[in-house]
Amino acid sequence: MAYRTDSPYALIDLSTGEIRYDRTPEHIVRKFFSGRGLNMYYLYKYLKPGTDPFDPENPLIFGTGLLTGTPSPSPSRMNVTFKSPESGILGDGNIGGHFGARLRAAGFDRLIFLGRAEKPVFVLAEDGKLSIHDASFLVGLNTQEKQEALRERLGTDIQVATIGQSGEKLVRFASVRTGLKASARCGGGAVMGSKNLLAVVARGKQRPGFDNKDFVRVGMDHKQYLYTSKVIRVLGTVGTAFLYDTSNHLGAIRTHNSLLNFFDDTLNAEEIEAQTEKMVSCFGCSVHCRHKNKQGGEGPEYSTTVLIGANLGISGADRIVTLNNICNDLGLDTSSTGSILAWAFELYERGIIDKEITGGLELRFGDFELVKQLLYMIDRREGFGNILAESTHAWRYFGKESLDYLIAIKGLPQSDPHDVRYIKSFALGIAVASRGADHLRNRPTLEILELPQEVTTRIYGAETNPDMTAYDTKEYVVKFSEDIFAVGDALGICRFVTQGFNSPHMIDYERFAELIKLNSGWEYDPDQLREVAANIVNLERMINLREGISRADDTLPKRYFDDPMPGRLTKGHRIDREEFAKMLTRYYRLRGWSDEGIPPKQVVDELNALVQPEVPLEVEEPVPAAVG
Amino acid sequence: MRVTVRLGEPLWRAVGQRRVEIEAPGERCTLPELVQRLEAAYPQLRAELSAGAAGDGVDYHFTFFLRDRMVKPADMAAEHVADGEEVMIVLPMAGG
Repeated sequence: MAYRTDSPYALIDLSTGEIRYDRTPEHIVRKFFSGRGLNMYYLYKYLKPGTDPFDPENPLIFGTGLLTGTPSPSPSRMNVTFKSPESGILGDGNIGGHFGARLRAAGFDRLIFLGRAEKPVFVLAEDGKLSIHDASFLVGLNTQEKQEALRERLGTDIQVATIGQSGEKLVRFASVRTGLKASARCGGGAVMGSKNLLAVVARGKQRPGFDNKDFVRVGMDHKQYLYTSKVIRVLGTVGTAFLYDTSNHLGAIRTHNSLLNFFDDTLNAEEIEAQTEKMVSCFGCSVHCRHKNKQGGEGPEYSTTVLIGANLGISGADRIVTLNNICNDLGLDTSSTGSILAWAFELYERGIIDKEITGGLELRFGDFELVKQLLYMIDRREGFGNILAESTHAWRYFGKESLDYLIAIKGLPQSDPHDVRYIKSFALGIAVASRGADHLRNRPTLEILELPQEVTTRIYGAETNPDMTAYDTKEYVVKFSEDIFAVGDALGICRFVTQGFNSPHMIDYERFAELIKLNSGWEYDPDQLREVAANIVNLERMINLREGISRADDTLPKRYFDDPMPGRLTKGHRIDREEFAKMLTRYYRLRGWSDEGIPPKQVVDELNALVQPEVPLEVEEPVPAAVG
Repeated sequence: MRVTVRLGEPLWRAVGQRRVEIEAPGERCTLPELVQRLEAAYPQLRAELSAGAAGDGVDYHFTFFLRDRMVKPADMAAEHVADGEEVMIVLPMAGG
């Protein structure tokens, strides 16, 4: 069996039109796999610290996972990576659908864009070659219209990654869209817009791994295994919507900018289901977790339901579907949108901002028509929408006091729909997540299950406190999740089938290793896979340290420390500053970092030698204290 | 006694309704007794609730909401339900 063990990519200078074709050598691929892993390798390599996210020299990287498009289970994922215009640190989004598999079918694992095109362009990847084309006909169209226009021109056998007008106008939380899916986080759409790159189009017929009968058989076996899970069956029936009922009953959802922690029942799963036409899937996935809704779009996901619904005080599943579809068509990240609007609403209620800054608009929670209007204003950067489009940077207009009410970390609005004051590991997770306040980097969801000790010890490799409201030992559960999710992202496997995110019985290191061997011929054991995870997590930390991040940035919104949760089962919970600080230190030490959150000099030097960046991070600290 | 049981995903699909009423003698019963009566009234729930190959009893994925507390299957035996109360059974996943 012949394996492809290096990784084909292209480096595109949009300023000059020059395209360089190359391959990432095997010894590098084996250290980072692909997807998020190699994307970080190239971001660290090409990004100069201090670069403005909208500067042409900000690298924009589309990278498929090692197993994307193969017979593996749920292998649709790829990452879009850049320096974030929201946070000013590493920006990264993960996207499903069919684009990643089609990019590999076109002969590329990765496209790295530098520079800025003089005029709007799209790039076509086909049969191992790239071509750059005029995209003036796409200007001003929304994300669906752009895809339709490209299909009309190029045929229906293409997949498109594109942006809306919001991306063209540099809305800092503009997403990259493909089909009805999004790489939503961190403003990748705005970075595309800043490069005058309106779309990337892929066409091709390569089917990596499908010529290997053993790979196809094992992939099917894994899919069958997954389908024995109750969780997978539920996800395939009603999607993530079913999570709302439980979290709301508990009193653990973000509501009215976290002034509250529960909402009404109009957003329950049965209400969302009534808005659903059918369930659909991404490439090669047997889960079918996405709603095709009756208003013509996809979603809403649970996160969107909470952040556009409860967090803005909007009742009614039909209304949430409408707002979800508008955000998606416009190419806006629903997590940032819901967080930023809720922040502005509270600031208005408190009198911190007034009609002078809103352009005469009266801001209030629960006003569906107002939210709809604001979405279009953000998209066009009109009036107050021009300020909201600045995301967390809008504090410069709102004043420093406004930061006390901002639910964001490291400049990125929180995506987790959960109020993390209750489950302390969730709080640690979003505080240390490498792209800012985000739940998909490391959220140890198994905490909610309060599983039997023997199960958690087997998974985490350490005895942990099953009490989800406790602080002790939570560094272990966060690190476990962070590591296995990093490997999953580098492989291109969906989080929903990765062990730890929804169930202890999903694709684990042993199953990952089996798939890697079938794909690449490489032998990995779980410890070696954890080393790959460490390479990725350390490199991400190095990127952020190079941008000036420090321990002080690994913190939480002020409200989570100061204000107890107001109602239901979680009433009275908040984060204790001292306990949080101790938990953070324990996490650093478990990672092998110093108490200031800096990886050991030896690790930094090794990664510098491997990546050979234009500007290496230099650290002086000796090897930090041992795990304690 | 009469207890309302709210069924989350995927349990309600097995019985076709999200709320069921369960009757039992006396004024209170334990949670395992309630589950037994629930399974007797709706035998199709047994396969959904059970731990299957992993062992007997209720699958540890499920959580019971009882009054102001969450109760895991391992702790069910010590919990009592009284006449007129409501119990909610859910798969407490967290999704994206």
